[in-house]
Amino acid sequence: MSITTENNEKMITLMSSDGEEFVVEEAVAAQSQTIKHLIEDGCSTEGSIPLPNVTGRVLSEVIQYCKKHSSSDDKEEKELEAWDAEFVKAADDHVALTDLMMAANFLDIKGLLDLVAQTLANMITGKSPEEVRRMWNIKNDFTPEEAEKVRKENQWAFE
Amino acid sequence: MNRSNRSDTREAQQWRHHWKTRSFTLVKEILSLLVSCLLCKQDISFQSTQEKKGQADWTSLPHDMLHEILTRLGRTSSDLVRFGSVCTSWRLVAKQDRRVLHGIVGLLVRGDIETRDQFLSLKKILSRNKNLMMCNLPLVSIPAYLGSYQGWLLLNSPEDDGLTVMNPVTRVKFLLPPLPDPLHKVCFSSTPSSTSLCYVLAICFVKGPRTSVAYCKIGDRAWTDIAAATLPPEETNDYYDAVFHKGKFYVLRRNGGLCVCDISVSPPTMAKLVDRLPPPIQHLQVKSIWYKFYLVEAGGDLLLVYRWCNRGCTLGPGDRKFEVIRLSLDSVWKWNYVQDLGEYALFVGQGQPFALSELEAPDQVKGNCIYFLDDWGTSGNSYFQDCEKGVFSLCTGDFEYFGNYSLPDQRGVWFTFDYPYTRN
Repeated sequence: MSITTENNEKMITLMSSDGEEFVVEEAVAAQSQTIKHLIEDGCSTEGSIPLPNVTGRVLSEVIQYCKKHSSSDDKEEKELEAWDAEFVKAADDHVALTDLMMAANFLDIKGLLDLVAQTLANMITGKSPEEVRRMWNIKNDFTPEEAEKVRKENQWAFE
Repeated sequence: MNRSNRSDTREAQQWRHHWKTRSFTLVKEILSLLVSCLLCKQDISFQSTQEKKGQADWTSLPHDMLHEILTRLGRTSSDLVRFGSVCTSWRLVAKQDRRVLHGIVGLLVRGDIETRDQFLSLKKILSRNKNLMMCNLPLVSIPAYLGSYQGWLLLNSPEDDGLTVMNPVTRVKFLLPPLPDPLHKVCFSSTPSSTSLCYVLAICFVKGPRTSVAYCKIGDRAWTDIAAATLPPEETNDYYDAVFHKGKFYVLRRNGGLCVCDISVSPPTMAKLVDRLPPPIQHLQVKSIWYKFYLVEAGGDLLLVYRWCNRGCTLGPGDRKFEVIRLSLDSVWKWNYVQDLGEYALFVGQGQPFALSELEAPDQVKGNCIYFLDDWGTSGNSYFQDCEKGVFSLCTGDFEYFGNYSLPDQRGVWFTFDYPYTRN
């Protein structure tokens, strides 16, 4: 279904993996290179575009980001930075951030990928491997031999 | 990372393809539904893990996503090592990072019978901590270092008259045949390996000014004196330093001449390239000076480094000096004086000079600097004690000496450690 708003802005419908539909302006959706290419190829004027890898919760966040970034120009860089910082803060924890990063990668939104990956990187900078495992609930799956090798490397690096 | 290699992008492409080729007919909606269903059954491991388990499943996070995080880590080697220590999938990703390749750079100092050899990282030397703790190397009492190259040491073999190339971290060893004459300098074409060709070029003192230039490859039973075999006798004197550059060895003569040694042809050849190397801009203005020069490759360029020192062993302004000249051997022989090495730092001293990019050894090495050690004279002990170890900044022309850091008196070699996981 092709919808056109009053100011003649073409609308696109995106459907999340859990069936939720989002109607957004084409300019907003085109922040995603993946969707942009699709639009350019002329395949999306009808019906909704299913996004099998992105849940409604994540998609709404992604759209929020795209809306902000499509409506701001370069002059507002500082304000946009502050907005970005708030945006990732609101994403709450690393799990939400990871989902967001996967979506940004799949939809090919470079700015969002940069933002989220940098946030995750900042979270682990300066932390010991044990702290990182605890913080992000990662299983230490090294065999005893590997663990010994890892221990030695750390010894070289930090002793 | 090349985005076209990403599995997710491929998936996105597949998804686009399905979507594009879908029929625009009455059954469009039905097909659309079908495609969605099919796609949903595909690998959806990165569908919100929170909603599935309440926690992220990091082991199933695609490696390119981990790489995205790794590349944005602080540029310290410690963070890179820590990243590789978290779990197996993180380790795999860390292994592929260029910045980890050189691991740690520092000073390797020979112990005596009582003490083991010691490694002191550059980071520690420059941290100005006087209570330095040394890493003890995991090997005991080895013979004098004859040279070092990218984490490998050349040593006399204790068992026979031959030579040993050894990685002291992994303990991997290769034997080289005995040299007929005392060794002056050694140069490797690549890191020693049993699977790929590695040539070793040795410059030896023969008699008086006469030197020999011999090569062998790992696995050979004898050295071949290439200078004697291919050059007239008057051209075989005074070889001094060598570097491997663009597939060939370049050998420097004390009188300033440069030869090229091509080991890729059969039989290998050695030929004179130029009679005179470019002169330094300015000699050190003191009465009694020593000077020497090195050949080193940095970022694909061939560099000539001049080094002077005042034999009086004072450290006043102008008592030490370095100059760097870039040599271009491509079609026309030309050179230019270098004021800025960019991201590269040079390491000179006993052993093979080398360059490191500050990007490859972040937080340890500063670009556009020359890190130097004492290699004046031939004795095992440092001639100048502490005052001939330090760093020279090409940018400011300033010297910083490591003299205040209670380094051992013995002479050391620059040494880079590969983390074992980078090259097994």
